[in-house]
Amino acid sequence: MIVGIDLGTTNSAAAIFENGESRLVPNALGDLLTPSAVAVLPDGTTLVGKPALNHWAVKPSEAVTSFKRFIGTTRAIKIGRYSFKAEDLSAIVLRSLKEDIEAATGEEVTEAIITVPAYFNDKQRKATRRAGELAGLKVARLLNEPTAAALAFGIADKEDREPFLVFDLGGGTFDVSIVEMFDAIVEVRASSGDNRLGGDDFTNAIVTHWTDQYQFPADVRSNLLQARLFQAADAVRRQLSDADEASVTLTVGDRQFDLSLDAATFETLAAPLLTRLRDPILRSLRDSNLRIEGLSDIVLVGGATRMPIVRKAITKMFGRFPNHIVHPDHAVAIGAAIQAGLVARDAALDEVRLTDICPFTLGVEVTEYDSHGRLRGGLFSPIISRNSPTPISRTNNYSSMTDNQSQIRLNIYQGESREVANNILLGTMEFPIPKRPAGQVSIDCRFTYDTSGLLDVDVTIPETGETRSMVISDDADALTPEQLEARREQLAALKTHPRDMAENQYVVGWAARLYEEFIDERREHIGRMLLDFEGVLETQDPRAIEPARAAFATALEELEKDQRL
Amino acid sequence: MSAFHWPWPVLGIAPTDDRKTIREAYARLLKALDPDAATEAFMELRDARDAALSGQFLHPPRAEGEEEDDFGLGTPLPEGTATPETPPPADHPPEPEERPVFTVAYSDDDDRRFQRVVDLLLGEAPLTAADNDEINRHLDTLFADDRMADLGHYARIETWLAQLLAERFPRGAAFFPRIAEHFEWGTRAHELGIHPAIPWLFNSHEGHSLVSELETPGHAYHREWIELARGKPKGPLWTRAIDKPRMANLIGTIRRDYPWLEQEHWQPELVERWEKKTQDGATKGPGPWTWLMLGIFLFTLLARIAGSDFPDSAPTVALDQSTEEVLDKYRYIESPDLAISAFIESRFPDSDVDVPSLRAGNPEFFQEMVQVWDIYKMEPESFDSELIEMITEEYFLHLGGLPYPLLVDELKQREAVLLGLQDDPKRCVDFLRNPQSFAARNVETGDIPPRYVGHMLEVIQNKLPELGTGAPLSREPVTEAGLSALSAKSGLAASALAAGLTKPDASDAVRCATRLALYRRLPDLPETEARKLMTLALKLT
Repeated sequence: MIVGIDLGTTNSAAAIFENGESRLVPNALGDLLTPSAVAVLPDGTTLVGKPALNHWAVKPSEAVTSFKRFIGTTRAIKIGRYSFKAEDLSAIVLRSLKEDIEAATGEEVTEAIITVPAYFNDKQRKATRRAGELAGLKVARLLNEPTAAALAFGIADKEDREPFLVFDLGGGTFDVSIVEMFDAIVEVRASSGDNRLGGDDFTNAIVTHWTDQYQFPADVRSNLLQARLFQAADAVRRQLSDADEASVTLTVGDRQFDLSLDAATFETLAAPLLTRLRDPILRSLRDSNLRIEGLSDIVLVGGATRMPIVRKAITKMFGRFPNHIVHPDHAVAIGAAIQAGLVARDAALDEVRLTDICPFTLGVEVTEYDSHGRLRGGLFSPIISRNSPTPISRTNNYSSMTDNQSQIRLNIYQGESREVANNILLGTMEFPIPKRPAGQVSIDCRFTYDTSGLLDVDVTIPETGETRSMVISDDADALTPEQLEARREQLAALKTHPRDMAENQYVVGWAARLYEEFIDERREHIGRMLLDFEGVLETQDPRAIEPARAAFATALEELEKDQRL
Repeated sequence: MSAFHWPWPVLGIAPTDDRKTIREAYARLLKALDPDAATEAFMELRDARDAALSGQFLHPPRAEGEEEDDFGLGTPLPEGTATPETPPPADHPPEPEERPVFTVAYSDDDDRRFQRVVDLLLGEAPLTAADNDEINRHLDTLFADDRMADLGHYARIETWLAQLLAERFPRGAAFFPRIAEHFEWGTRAHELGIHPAIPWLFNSHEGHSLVSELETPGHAYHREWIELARGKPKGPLWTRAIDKPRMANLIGTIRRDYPWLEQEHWQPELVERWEKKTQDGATKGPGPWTWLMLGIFLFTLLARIAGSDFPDSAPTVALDQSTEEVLDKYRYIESPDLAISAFIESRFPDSDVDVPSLRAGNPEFFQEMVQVWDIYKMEPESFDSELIEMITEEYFLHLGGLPYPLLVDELKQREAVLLGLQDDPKRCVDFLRNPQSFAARNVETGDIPPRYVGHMLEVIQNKLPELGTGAPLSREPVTEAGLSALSAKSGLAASALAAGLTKPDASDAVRCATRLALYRRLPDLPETEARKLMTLALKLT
């Protein structure tokens, strides 16, 4: 079966298309959203989701969140004695979601539609696809997140819609897409974005603010403090969605800090981030030849759009109130499952078609002579321009630079700048060419950008008829099928926590976290309850465990609520 | 792709500005399509829709004779006459920046006259005698006094006209000297973006321009001109179309022989400046566009020279040079549609088939043909060109509506055989050893033109060492009578032929060498003779 997966920076969700509609599938804890957090215990057991978040608050060195920001890079993320790449961690989350769906539906999950931010570049996309493969999923297609949300929005009534704007501010990325719907064809007209802007940046702004304001003990200026501060800031940020002022108590060592923030201060802190929202919006409007008045709707997606300051900024920018039809956290997964239904040719979607675009310009580096005959290197020669409908295939012709040049090096870039230095290098390819006077050897460079947003580069030398297909020579991409298999086995060797134990583990982790956050009587109280619960767990009697766990969870909830108020 | 030519057949609807109709047609076609599997078709559909929605393609390309009446011949235009709306010719070479020229509404009579001249000169319809008269009349009026002296007013159109006239040669060639002289292009080539040599070549002296002389076979430099076109290096269009050092050399030579030209028209300092600016190579200079123009111009010029004896009436069965020359002539045109329509126009002047109807009639073949065309454009020098030319012709056949007498199947089979044979020496040997059995297994091969067998032998000869000695080529006993007939026809010694053709113990290498010698004689013979010789040789083996 094919499923839709929203692999988010903060939260992930899985959905299936069934009986003509798309629905989210709950995880082992009964939640529809699974935090994108992974913990690896010293014994190699992995925790995913809320349990991992709890573990992170206690032992930040053994857990990690927001790793999606590093996907497509070779950066090693250390968890305990293990070292992972972001794609490995994504694979662990995907595996957990896959198991959740299999548990909920009883069917084997073989293929998936995985969503990625529209502004993800080729490396990030390829890494995401590898993550799917590492999790044992065939990635039927990578779908742009705002496009998925637009599908969820557009399919709701299958009515024609004038262009609407999808504003997707997630945990780590920001995307804007302008989408139109006609005769059940969902057509993306333009996309733009900033893949380094998200809710996390707002949280970090609060963290920075507090670090400047409070005198935290220097010795705990460590990962632990940072993790706890981040969590506290995140909680405050969420509270500010409903209140004008929020505070949280943070226990560091023996000291307690009452951290507080009011909405006005937050707005000041967030101002630079809010201005960064403007450019992508303007660019996508410009690219689709629309003015703000031409938009029929503003659709908000992504948890970070819950922030009143963001909504206020949007209302101000567009001069109208955004649309609330779709659930900001669920829309992307719902849309991904609709795409899964499309791929599976579900009868309910017979008439529906989706066309997407390539959100950035792709091209190669060239050297040219200027009008004074001086060499001018490092220039960008676009082959596929941004917002071309996908799939697309374009060919450009280039010539050799010097006499008897024996090889050509092709640097492939993504970006909009005329100088390649400001663009993103996707890969490099070197190949020999016949020796001829300058300019007499030509090569045809064909870029093919498919509906998953993956790029293929083929180079043909007409003179010799030789054709080369580009394997972008990034070391992350250099995995052979065998290496991929080996890596998959390594990850499989990490034990997943037994499914039936997940809820228990979660409550224990929760208690452990609260134990650290409180002091004195309440800490002792938690300690006692935890001991009792662990005693019940040892009996391994489900009939005893379940009521005990419920009671314990209620007690913890009370305590936590108390603290937050 | 950006310049879509005529989107309606792709969408399957009649021209309309109703957005709903266009989008419905698009939706219907998209739903029948899998973009992942049929990327090209998707791209075409999408481009067609965007073009249709742009509202720029509401009128078909101007048909011949249409709008003739809009301009009285020399009579003043009545006040308030609407400027005839002339849509961009559908197959116009992309020239996006200058395109608005067509849509500018001129209020002044002179402007309209000038625009009319431009439209006629650069349009798609063939120029009729009436058109020529009209152009001359308009030019008479325009050049009568100094009213066009205010060049700034026309500067943009003028530059464009100069470049396109160079590009579209020979169209409008008759008017080139006249217009060039009036606008003093000879001294202003630099600012117009055309090579200074172009006006120079066109400037007339006592009714003869240098170009017209060079066109005449027998002219001292006629061969050189042709070689310039034929001996072009491979590469992108502008590098292969023009071989600069040789051209410079040739122009230098010619200049010495034409002192009058030198005195009257040659502008050495302009040329020097030009050449200095572009000396580092056509692709690096400030004006690749200009070099392209020049290249295109020379190229078409030369193609025209070479093809001057091309019979442009009745289609012929023989797939001889004429096709290649026609292709050559239009190869420079980047738009396949334009090239194809030009091909049809020259090959079948009486046919009423046009590109949109061909495309609509058989889109699949049309698409394939465009691809073949592209290949041909890229690799004109390789021996495949003949084959591709043939296939191209075959596609025309499939496209329907064209009066070809050849049978489709025959061509298809021939193509299959040739494609199978062309690079594999073993299969070539196989074929030559026993064409009959090959024919039985595959197709009728008797009709393969001699030059393909010659090609096979080339292939074999190049790979002789790899072949070694094998079984004898022939199966049927050779008669003395046959051998002597062959010897008489080919002019090769009977003993040599016998050694290569009939001796049972002769090696493949010897056989091939003999046959190669035999086939080398073929090009010198008339087609019918060559065919007879071929048949004879094949019978012998």
